Amino acid sequence: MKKLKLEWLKAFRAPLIAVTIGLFFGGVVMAFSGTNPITGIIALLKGGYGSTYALVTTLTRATPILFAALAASLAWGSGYSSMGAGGQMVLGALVCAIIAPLVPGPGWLVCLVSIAAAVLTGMAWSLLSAYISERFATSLLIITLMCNYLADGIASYFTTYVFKDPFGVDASAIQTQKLTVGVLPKLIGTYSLHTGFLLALLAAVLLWFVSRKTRFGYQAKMNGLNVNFARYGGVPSVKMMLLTLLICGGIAGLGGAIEVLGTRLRYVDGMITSPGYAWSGIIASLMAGNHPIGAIISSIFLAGLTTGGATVERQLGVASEVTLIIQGIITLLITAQLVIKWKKGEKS
Amino acid sequence: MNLSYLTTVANSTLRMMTPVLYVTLAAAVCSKVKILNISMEGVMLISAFFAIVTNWFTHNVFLSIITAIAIGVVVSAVVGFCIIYLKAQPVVVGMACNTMMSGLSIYLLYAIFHTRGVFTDPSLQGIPKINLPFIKDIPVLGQVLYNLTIVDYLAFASAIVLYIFLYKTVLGYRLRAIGINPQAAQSLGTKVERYQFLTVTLSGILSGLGGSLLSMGSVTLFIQNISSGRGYIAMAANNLGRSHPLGALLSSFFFGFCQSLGYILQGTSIKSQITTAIPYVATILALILFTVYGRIQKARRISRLRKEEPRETPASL
Repeated sequence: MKKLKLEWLKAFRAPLIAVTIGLFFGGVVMAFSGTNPITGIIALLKGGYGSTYALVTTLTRATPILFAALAASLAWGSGYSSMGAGGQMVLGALVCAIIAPLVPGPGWLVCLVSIAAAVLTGMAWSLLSAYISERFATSLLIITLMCNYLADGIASYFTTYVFKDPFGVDASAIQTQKLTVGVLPKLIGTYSLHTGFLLALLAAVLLWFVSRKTRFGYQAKMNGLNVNFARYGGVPSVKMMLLTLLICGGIAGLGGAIEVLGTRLRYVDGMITSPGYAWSGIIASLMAGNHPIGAIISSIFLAGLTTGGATVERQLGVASEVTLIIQGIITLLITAQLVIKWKKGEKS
Repeated sequence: MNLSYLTTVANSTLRMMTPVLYVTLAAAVCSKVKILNISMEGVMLISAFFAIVTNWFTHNVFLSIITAIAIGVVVSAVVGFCIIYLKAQPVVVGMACNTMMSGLSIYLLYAIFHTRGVFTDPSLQGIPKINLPFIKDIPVLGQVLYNLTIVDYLAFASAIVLYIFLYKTVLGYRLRAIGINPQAAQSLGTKVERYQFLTVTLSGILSGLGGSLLSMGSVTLFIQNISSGRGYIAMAANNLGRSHPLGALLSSFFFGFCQSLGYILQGTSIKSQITTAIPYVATILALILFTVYGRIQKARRISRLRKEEPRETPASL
């Protein structure tokens, strides 16, 4: 039992050191533009996690990132390098925002129908890229990247010309009609945090359960560890790929819908792509070693960096993109397992 | 559809294709030595940025291009080191690099020029445009080659040089051997890791040149995320060109054509959201068609072989 606990701690050690080094470099970069690095880092952390307001904002931002991270953790953990979460989220959000005002009835029904529609859309879009990649033997990475740009164009077209808010005060705002019923309830008073965050946590636990306790989860993991071995062991590879990516698409589509129903209450052009939710999600998943529960922590961490970055920009006049540099360094350190290798080199 | 319209399309195709050609070539040499490099997007972006920074401080085009190349080499070396010597997952390293470079360029843009979004200044020098007197006066060719820079021409030249290097020299042969089977190359005494590292590092020259062309080619300015996915397009173009330098030339021409078509159609009643999507849809379709074509060819070859060597039939039944 004691040993198990130690293993747990070990899993956290390397990421923690990586985060520390990442923040250190963030401080160095800030020092270059004449900001006191210590003040900068403290402002960053305080702005991200230091107050109720900051924490709630961070958790709200973490919700779509976590959904993208879960989709990525399933895909990448099963050995499929899919970048498609962005496109699937965009289309899921768009369809949710279009369907929701059309559904009559009470709020919960509206939520249910529009979420289902978004999940199906995400699934369909993911299946399209998976099918093209499988059937025509092209790299999934490239197809999903292209499909993201395509999804963006589609969503932008429909919000600009077909479903543009007819009651909008500001005619230049490219957005759909605002939802009044079927909105996810807020968790704490008037703060922005909504029940979608709980749904994301639930999804993470569910995914963890599936990957640990079901046959599908086992097969997916085997596939990720060694495709040839999995095939030899009787895992149907084509079916597995389509099924895995179908579920990933569903999760990403759900994430898009939650963002519409919980935060924006409409589809605004670029609402998923310009904050880079999907990219952060993929990075969060890779940071956590494609572990669904670990993805919760890394998603919240990354969201907090962004929230803190905004504070730093406001208070110290440093561009908030300094957090992207920190993000990149941390990812690099974790994936290269620099910390572990350095330790090993020290021993030998 | 008159002639001048066609020459405009051809001219803008050439100008659109050269940055993509550079990064596609970078992707091609990396995949020739079996390294999946997706960091070209970030390398190109940061090179484009530092080209403008040097330009601003020195007003010297040559120095700016050299800086872009140097930055490209340095960043590519870090990426190569992580992938090859530290055995990190190449896709993750590439994504980390792209994230970092995007952040760094915006951060420095704000720190140095105190601006967000776009930076431009009349004192910035663009790469000089070459309009040779005698070619300029040839009716069609003069318009097609109008206002191309020396770096544009260098892109075509480097495709040909790379082809000769990879397919006609011993060193190129050795590099290709690594790509075909690293273990076999290793057993023959080739220092696989060193060659891979050098290839990835020197691919930074190409990405850097591509970057300098972005910020100082047809226009002289820096926009946030000026590379706008060209590094990713290059991966598709590399796939389409089967990692062959001349294939890269064709596939980036195809991409440049789709992009310039998109820009030209923007002037018509077709909505801009559709025209910007053209290159991406075309890439997907091209990848599909390429595979289908390859399969048909293969099936034909097999059936031809069968016809030539009919199976022995039992003498009598």
